[in-house]
Amino acid sequence: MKWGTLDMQSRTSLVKREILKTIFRSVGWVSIVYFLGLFFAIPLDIIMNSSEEQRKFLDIDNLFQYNFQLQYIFNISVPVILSVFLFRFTQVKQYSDLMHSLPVKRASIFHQYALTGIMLLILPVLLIALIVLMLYQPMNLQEFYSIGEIFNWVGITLLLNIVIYLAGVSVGMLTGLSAVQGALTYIFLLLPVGLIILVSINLPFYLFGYPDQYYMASKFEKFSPLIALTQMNMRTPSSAEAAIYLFLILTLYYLGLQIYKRRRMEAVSQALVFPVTKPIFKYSVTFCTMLLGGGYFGEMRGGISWLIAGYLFGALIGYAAAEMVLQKSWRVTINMKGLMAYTALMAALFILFQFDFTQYEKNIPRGNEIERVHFSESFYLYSDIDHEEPLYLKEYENIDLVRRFHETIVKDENRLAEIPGRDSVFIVYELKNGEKLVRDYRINKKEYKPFLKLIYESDEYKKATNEIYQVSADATTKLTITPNGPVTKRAVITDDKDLKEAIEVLTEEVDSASFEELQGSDEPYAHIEIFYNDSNKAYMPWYPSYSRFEEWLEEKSLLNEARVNSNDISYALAAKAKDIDVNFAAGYSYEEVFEEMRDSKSAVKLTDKNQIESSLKNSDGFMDGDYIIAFYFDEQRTIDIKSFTEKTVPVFIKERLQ
Amino acid sequence: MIKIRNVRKSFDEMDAVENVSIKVNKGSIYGLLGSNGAGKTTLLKLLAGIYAEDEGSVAIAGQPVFENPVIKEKIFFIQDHPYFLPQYTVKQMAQFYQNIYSRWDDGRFEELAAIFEMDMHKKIHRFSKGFQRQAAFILALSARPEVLILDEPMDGLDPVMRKKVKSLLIDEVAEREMTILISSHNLREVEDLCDFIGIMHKGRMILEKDLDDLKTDTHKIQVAFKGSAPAIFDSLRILHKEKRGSVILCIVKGDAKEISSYVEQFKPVIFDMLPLTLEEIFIYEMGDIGYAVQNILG
Repeated sequence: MKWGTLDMQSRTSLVKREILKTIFRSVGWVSIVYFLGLFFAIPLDIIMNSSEEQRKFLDIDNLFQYNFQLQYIFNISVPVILSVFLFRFTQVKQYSDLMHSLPVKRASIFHQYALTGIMLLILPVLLIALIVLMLYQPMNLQEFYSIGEIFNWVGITLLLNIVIYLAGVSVGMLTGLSAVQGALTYIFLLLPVGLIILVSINLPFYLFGYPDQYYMASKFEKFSPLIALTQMNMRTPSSAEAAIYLFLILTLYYLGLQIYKRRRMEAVSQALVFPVTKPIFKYSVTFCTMLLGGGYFGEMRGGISWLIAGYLFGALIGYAAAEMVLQKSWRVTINMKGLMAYTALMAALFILFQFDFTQYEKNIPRGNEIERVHFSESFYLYSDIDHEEPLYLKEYENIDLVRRFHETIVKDENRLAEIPGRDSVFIVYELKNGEKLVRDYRINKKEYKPFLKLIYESDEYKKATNEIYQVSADATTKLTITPNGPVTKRAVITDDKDLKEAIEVLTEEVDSASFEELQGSDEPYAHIEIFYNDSNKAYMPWYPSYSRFEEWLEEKSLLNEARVNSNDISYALAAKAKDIDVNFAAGYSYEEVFEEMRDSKSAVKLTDKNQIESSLKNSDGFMDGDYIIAFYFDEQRTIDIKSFTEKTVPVFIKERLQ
Repeated sequence: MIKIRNVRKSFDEMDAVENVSIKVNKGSIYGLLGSNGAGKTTLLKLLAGIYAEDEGSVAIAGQPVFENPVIKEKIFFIQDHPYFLPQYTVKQMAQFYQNIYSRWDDGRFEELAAIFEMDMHKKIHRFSKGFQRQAAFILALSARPEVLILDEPMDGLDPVMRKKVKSLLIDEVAEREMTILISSHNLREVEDLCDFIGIMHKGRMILEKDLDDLKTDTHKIQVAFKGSAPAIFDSLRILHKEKRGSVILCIVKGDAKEISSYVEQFKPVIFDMLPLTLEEIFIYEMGDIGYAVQNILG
């Protein structure tokens, strides 16, 4: 009797022992494979690299860094595989009928399956953590990381795994095919990031000045657990992120449960179980592939007809693919009415954007609203400068210049949108109310020279863009001038008085440098590095136009060391570009060109020092001129090749090549 | 015991079951007949609590079935192709059901397994189709359900096994008043088992009959008279009549005694009252619903 009552209790309890058993029997292997995978990736790696010799080369400060790729593959695949196999009973008709004829409520089935699944994910991770904890002391792992890192690893791995797993579970409740469940889960997890990218590559076609790179680089990787996981060896997520993942876990669990409760079991083996989701799926896929098609053809800059063709092509492919999935056949019938409605809506949207209905393009903040403005030639100058603050202009005059420049560009929209320029203008207004307005344009700098000249020659811009202004002459310890060319010599100044003078001269040079000089169309003679305040270093190029500096170096007898001159060159070969039999388009090496010139009868050899000096000064750094000149550097037996145009070619070369 | 009222269930806007009502009394065996796609399986799955009805109500012992474990514990559903948990043996399946169905009877299970000579430790999916079906019966009956729902249960069973299963079912019904709902596309398969049948066609219930009534109610008579036949037929309920020479053959409804005493009055030369097969009854009684009935007569 005693047994009987016990038995009764277990029967009425919420957890059915046999259901747990069947779960372990069907998906236990996933957990075991996961454990083995992690065991290979972490504890085994620790043990195998335990000798003193190997440890020297180990560069590890958290658990993710052990075979990160392997861990990553397991972390993104195991949860999805688990969710697919675990809920197999919702995707196979007979299995579904069996499970749902049992006297167990759906909620109870869901809780038992979903929670056991979570347990199967947690167990291997905890076991691995336990093993690493046991290895911690004997293997002296404290030399690499603290014990906390183990718990960190457990926490991050579990959070992300469970998010991915529950995404798989929730998606599974919407579909009646295991394959679709797997595929849709990954699409779902990538969707936030994918949409940002798709929209960002398309908006520039509609919104003149839309800074796509700016939005695409804005840390969107956090929006997808799959992509966030790729960075876990480098960074630890903030507690806010962890809270969001936790929130996602709860939401996805609740969603999965609610959808499962409402799921119609007769729809097993259909791609999507709920009829409402079918059009949503169909048109979302169509929309995404449309953006992809348009983005692809649009990037090729083939003009608006190609853009539209890209949209049509993408939309049709997406629509057909979605129908194929839904109808489970490649011979699909197309619902013309729906497709027409979609086309009409997209056309309306397209036209609306043509009229700039959001006033995005004309939106330029008023001068008194602006706190400061970033103005540069590339988004990367704004974002990528090793955590240094990007350049900002704060003076009203300069802000106004940028604004007026901006206005002019907007006025020229029609022309610029048609034939985009080769140069980029990147503007970030930081407004007094804390908002930001970011624009990116492609123009030809030449056409806007008056504006650019005023901005670039302003004191504020120069001070912000030239490091030399940060150098205090008193604290400077060394200045090196490294010639631009294949030579090993360099000039070094360490004398206090000389340093002061040099910095003074260089500052004056920059002060008085014109827009044209600063644009650096001339190849610099040398690169100057200034060491100051113990650890700081300022850098600047020495342009040929800085003639006062050249004079000063001459005075100090440093000129010979400071730049390449005829002394470094034993001889030079010159020829007309068209006489040299080198296919420049197919790629070439300096050696090839040089040999070709040496063997060619149409090339001349220069050995006169003065002629070489003059050739050096007048030639350009690229091999795109009418005359080619190759310099042979004795010291390292290297070659440098430059060119002249019809205008810059020295007379003595031109004459000999007649 | 079972009460289905005005039930509708549609798949993708197509009605699979439309306005169907049936009532099954405790301890009776109800045969649900119909050709493929008539909606039998859908109706059974509604009754088993697998599907939720779109309209109407499905109740057992006065309570709705869907999402109601208390009621579902009293039901056992065997699918048209019996299905078992992947890689399970009969023994493991038994343990599974034992944990799920509180009325499970282990003694009964051992007993049935012995009768059917079932290998308990072999994986069920390795069994032949017939053996799988037997296993399903054993497991179902061991769960001691009050309502047993069988979808095309005789498929894949040889005649000997059919007999065994049928007698087992009848015993169970007699012994503890189990109610059985059984679907089939073949009348002959179930006519000796059911006491009540319903015929479905295109999602609708087109006919419901008490078989005992039907059999005692319909008769085939052969009569012959000297000379021309008297006008006796006007007052009989005649379903069908034909003449072969001087012999008149007809199908008549009504009480056997009343009919024979009535006919005797006219002093027929020949008068035979013959039993009808169920098949004949259907052909004569429902000639107009033709197609559906023809089909189920197989």
